[in-house]
Amino acid sequence: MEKRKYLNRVCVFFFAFMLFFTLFSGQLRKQTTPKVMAMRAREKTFPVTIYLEDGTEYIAEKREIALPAYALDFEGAVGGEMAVVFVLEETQEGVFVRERQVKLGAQADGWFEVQSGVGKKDKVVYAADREIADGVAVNVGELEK
Amino acid sequence: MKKKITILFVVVFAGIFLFPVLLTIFRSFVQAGGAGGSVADTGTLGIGTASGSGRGGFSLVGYYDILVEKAWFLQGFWNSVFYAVVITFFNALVCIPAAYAFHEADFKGKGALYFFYIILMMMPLQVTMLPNYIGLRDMHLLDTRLALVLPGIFTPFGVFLMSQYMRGLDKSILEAARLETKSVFRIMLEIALPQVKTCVAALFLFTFAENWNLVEQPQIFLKNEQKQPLSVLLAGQAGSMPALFAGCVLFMVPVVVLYLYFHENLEEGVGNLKL
Repeated sequence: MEKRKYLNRVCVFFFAFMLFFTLFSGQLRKQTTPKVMAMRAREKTFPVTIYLEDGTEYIAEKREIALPAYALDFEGAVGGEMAVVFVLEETQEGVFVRERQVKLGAQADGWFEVQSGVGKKDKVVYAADREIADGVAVNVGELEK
Repeated sequence: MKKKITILFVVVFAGIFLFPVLLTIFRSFVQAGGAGGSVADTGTLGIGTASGSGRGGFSLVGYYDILVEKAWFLQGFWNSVFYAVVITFFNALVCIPAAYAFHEADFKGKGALYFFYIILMMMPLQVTMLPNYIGLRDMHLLDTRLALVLPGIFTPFGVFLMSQYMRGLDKSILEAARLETKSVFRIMLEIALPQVKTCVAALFLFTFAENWNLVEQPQIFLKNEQKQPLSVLLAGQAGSMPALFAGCVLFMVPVVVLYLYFHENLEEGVGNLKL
């Protein structure tokens, strides 16, 4: 009889536990998942120096996809011209961040030319309220145009 | 000496059977790495990651992940509860009167009908799946919850189990009851049922466990993921290793609790079967 009483309590506790998460998991997720701000890579104009055979130098301009320095993480990068960015991945289960290595080119006004690793349509995280890692679910704040 | 060998055998076999369960519980509390860690990249059994490279150690991340991050888990859990409870309840409602009728009523072809029941019970699930599928399709019940509930309610096993147990009913008590009332239903409820309650408990447990672990039927009868039970969703979802193990632990709890609740009845009920 004592055992049944105990098992009854276990049953009630277990189903109450599951019910609690069923009702409040959405709110818990909101409270506990990192909030991030994201932006799309933009086209920026970078100065290019052209050297002719006769020794003349010309300064020209080129438009390339670029990201601001504050969206780039140089610590985890492999190689001097590389940086790490976090790109949003939207799935049925929610939004996750994926780590990507990007190859950088020219630099101007705090922006870096991105030669590979990120496309025009990718949404790149530029701010987060806590540390994020590859595969982490996030809440996305307003997307910077 | 002989006793010691027996104990050794029992311990070894218990260990073999308990190992997957213990491993599941253990792995659900061990962090396998970053949130991106998946079953595929964690190694064979995942043992050994507990040391080095910042991985391992006690963690409730798996439980957090499965209960908060994975919306499909709780949805599947309540689907499983629905299927198991509804089928178990209605199955008992069908099986007990049917078994009582087999025990009490005398009609032509009773033996043949009972034989047919046993044959049907012996059929592999895969054989009855196709006729069930065609029937459900023709009734436009595919991809509805009834597609799992209806075939589950009318399984022959419950009738077989109950009618075998009812063979042990004291006939003189039933005859005495017949002198008191003409209501067959009342005799069944008030006289027969209390005598077979251990078997009813065993029937509940068997039916619940069987329907808690449904895999093939939902995969074939249901296309909508929103209606799938947890047994199917757990097998088909990708996720981090601790999260999937935590899901398995939570999935085991209701059946284990139910077994602990009814195991004395189960032993008594099955032990007294007149086969």
